[in-house]
Amino acid sequence: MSLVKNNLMTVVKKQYVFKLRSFSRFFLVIIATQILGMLFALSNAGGMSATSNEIYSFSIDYNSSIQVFIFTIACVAGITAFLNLKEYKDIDFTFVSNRMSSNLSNIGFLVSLSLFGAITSALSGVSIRVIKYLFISSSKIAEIGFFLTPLEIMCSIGATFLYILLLSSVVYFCTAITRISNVFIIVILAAVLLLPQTPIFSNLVSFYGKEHNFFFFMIKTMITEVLFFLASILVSNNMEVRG
Amino acid sequence: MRNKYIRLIVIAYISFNILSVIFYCTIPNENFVQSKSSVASNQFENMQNEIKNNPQLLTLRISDDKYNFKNYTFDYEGKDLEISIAKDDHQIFINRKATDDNKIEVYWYPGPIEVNGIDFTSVLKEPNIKLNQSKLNINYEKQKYSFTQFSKDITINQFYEKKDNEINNGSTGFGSSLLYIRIPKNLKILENEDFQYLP
Repeated sequence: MSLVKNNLMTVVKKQYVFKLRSFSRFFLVIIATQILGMLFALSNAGGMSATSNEIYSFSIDYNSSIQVFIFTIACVAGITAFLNLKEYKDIDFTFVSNRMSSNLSNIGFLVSLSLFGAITSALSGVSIRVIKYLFISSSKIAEIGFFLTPLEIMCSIGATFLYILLLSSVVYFCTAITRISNVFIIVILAAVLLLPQTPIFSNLVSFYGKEHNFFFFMIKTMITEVLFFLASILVSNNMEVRG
Repeated sequence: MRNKYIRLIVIAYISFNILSVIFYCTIPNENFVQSKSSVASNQFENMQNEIKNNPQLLTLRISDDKYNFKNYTFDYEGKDLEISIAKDDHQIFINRKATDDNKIEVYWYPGPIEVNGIDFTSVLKEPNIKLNQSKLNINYEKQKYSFTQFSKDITINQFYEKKDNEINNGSTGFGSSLLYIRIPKNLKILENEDFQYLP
């Protein structure tokens, strides 16, 4: 039993390292996406508002790094979908491997990608603040919202990582079931279009997005991620070797 | 692209982010538009309540450093005085002195101005107060302020009490400034219903 496990882990490790090398361009995609997000954020995409009376007039430029977060999460979701494409799947068979090792190495790669995306996305928020600080006088920047504590930055990295991985696990599962039958493509598309209009969707958003305790949020997202990844493994294990 | 170059780009990008964080940690919390929200409003409100109950207290408050009244003094030997104020949302208190010292003293206290929960009272410019023959003119320059406000990421706000909405929907209000004018005993003021005479 121990020998089998070791063999599996060795293969998974080899495949993981191989994927890190051969799919390293995906890290560049994330960087490019984040730079695009930063450009959006720096171009005052956050909006403006103005208020005045007969003497005083105030205009406020809103800034945030939400664009980087959204771009990153969408980018990793896109990469996850690519990983389950046949061309990418076939790379696994350059090794003596099975579906299990392929999935585990994919999950490992996605975890690495999500972690990279989360760290750089959260730190982009700091970079955006630094760039703004360098180009406009600090007397024109509101103190409120500008300064982040180390704990807030860590919290941002952690939550971003969990959100990216959550979406990634859902996309991974969706792409896994589409390999069983193309009917699932229609089912998923219908779900994507219809689900946001149902109360289930708002309940789901509240379930994760309105959890204010980081520990419980972590538990909720991690359980969901494990379930989706497990389901993906089960689904693909039932497929033929080169399905 | 070769892995070597990809690795270089990734390292460069991470280094840029780390350097940003290091630089960010050294930014002094000075000169920023401070968010002493409601400090000026509370102080102003307290003073208003005090004056309402005991108008004489205003005479004490003008010399209190805590309140930082701006003071203007004019020599005036005329018999009548007209007071002209460009901005009409003022509370104007007039106190007739016990003596005829031929001096008009004007004390100005800015009304609290809060925009998006940020207190701008301290950065407001004082009014131009000039005595022109028998007319005391109180004018304000039009003042424009623009500033940048950052909102924290949703991934931060989700776990912290102070939600981003509270920042963006922070209170906005323009308070009326307070003018306290001390005039010589026998100076006649051209009547204006907005003036409140203190005994």
